Order: sequence, then C-alpha cells, then structure tokens
Amino acid sequence: MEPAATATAIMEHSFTETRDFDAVVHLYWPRVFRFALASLRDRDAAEALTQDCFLHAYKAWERFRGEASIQTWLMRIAVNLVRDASRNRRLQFWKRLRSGDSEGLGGYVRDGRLSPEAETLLREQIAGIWKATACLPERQKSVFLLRFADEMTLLEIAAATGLSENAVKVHLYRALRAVRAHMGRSE
Amino acid sequence: MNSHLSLEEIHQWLSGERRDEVVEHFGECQVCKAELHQLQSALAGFRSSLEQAPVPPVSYLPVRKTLPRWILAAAALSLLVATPVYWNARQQRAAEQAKSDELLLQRIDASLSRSVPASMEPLMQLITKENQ
Repeated sequence: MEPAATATAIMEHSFTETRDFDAVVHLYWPRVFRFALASLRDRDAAEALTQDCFLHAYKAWERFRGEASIQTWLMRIAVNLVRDASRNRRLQFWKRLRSGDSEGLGGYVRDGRLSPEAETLLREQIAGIWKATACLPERQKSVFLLRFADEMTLLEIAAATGLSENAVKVHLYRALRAVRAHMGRSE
Repeated sequence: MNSHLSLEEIHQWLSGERRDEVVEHFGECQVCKAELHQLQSALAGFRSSLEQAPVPPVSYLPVRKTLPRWILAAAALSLLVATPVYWNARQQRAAEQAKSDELLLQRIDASLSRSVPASMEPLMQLITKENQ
C-alpha cells in the first residue's frame, strides 16, 4: 500500500479496525521526531526520544482504548517524554549550548513569489521564531509547537498535554506574544 | 469597526478561533489583514523549515546494547569462585598423574634390570642354591 493510502486508511478507520502498529509508526514517526527536534534542539536526543515514544506506544498498544485519536495519544507520550528529558540537567546544558544553532535544524525553502527584501524579512522572522521557541517555558513551547508545527486544534492540544482548553489558550497566547516580540529582533 | 484588532484577537484567530466580527474586520481592514498575513507567513515558514529537517529511519524495537549489570556481576563472581576450584583440581590431577608415571617407570626399571627373563628366574634360583 502507498504511504498516502496507508495514512488515509489509518485516519479513516477507527481504533478497533486499525491494528497495524507498523503502519502507525511509519505514518507518525516524522511528526513525533520533528516535535522532539523542535523541543530539544538536538538531533540525537530527538531520535532517541522518538524511539522511546514508539517503544512506549508499542508496549501500551494492546491497552490503547481509542478514546483519543492515535495522533493525540502519541503526542501525549511525546510531550511527557520531552518534559522528562527537559528535566535532565545535562540536556539543559546542551540545549543552552545549542540554542543559537537553530538554523541547522531545519531548512528554508525559497518562495519565488517574494521580492528579495520580503524574502530576507521572512527569513529573519523565521529565525526569530526559532530563537523565541528556544526561550519559551516548557508548557508554552509544547503548546506552541503542537499548534504551529503539528497544526493540532486547541482540543487536541488539550488532550495531548493534559491541560484544559482554557489553559491551552493562555499558554498559546503567552507563547505567541513572546514569539512576536522575537520576530522583530531575530539578530 | 473603526479601531484595529487587538493582539489577543489576532492570537485567537491564529489559535483557530473564528468569530464573525473578526472575519468581518479582516474583510474591511487592510492593515490588520496585512499583519495577519505576515504572521501566518512567518509561522508557515517556521513549519516548513522544520519539515525540511531530515528524519532518521524508523527503529523502535528494543535493542539491548549491553548486558544488565547484575548478569555481568554474577559472571565475574562465578569466575572468581570457579578459578581456584578448577586450579586445585588441575593440580591434584597433575600430582596423581606424576605418581602413576613414577610407578610405571619403577616397574619398567625393575623389568630392565633383570639379568634373565622372568620365566627363567625360578631355575636360576635353584642353580644358586645348589652352588651354595
């Protein structure tokens, strides 16, 4: 089955109909990895965390009742693992060391429709967002990444983080305010 | 609507909340529309830059890289206990072998030191007695 077809099949079928864990892993692996990468700023740590996330999911797969969507369930595991990892003081040290190295994490695709000035401004704003997310408190960062990197709804974010919808709104508002402040001064 | 949208209203829009008056305002106010567009472009660029990051291959099955410490400790302890026992047994076997070799050598020596074959020995003893 093509990856796109597998993705559609998993999304369309309910939990009871979807027992193919391997297909779930292949579908959500990049998403979990990117969330971990943006949260931890360390490729090796992000890869280890992604492996851990799916290992936890694999062990709990039989007990998964399908109350949440698979994506929400996986992201909840990932959010908890990121929180635990961030408590690790050694990781904090590396994170601080690498906080200025965010440009190496992702890439930038040129938008040919923009003028060179607009392109430069956009680049600076993106760099500003990267820098701002590095400084955000853990919960604000998770909520921001789940919303703007994973495009999850407020309700899905609430389910993934264990916060109420109102708490998610508050964290998101504060995160956006901090990000906007950085967007103007990315250097 | 005369004034521009508040920061909170723009953030609510970005969070996915759609209120009729805000939708209406974006239709009328080019300043707020441009500000929203700029923010959305930057956030989309951020998401896109994250999507460009290479993703490592899938591997989630547990791979035990090292043996558990208690197994290593038990193996080391067994080695410590077994070595003297094995060494003693080996020494004992060597001593028994040496004793056995010595007895064999004595028998060979005795056999070689005879002046006549063993079957002739009674006859030789008779001759010796007659001579005396």
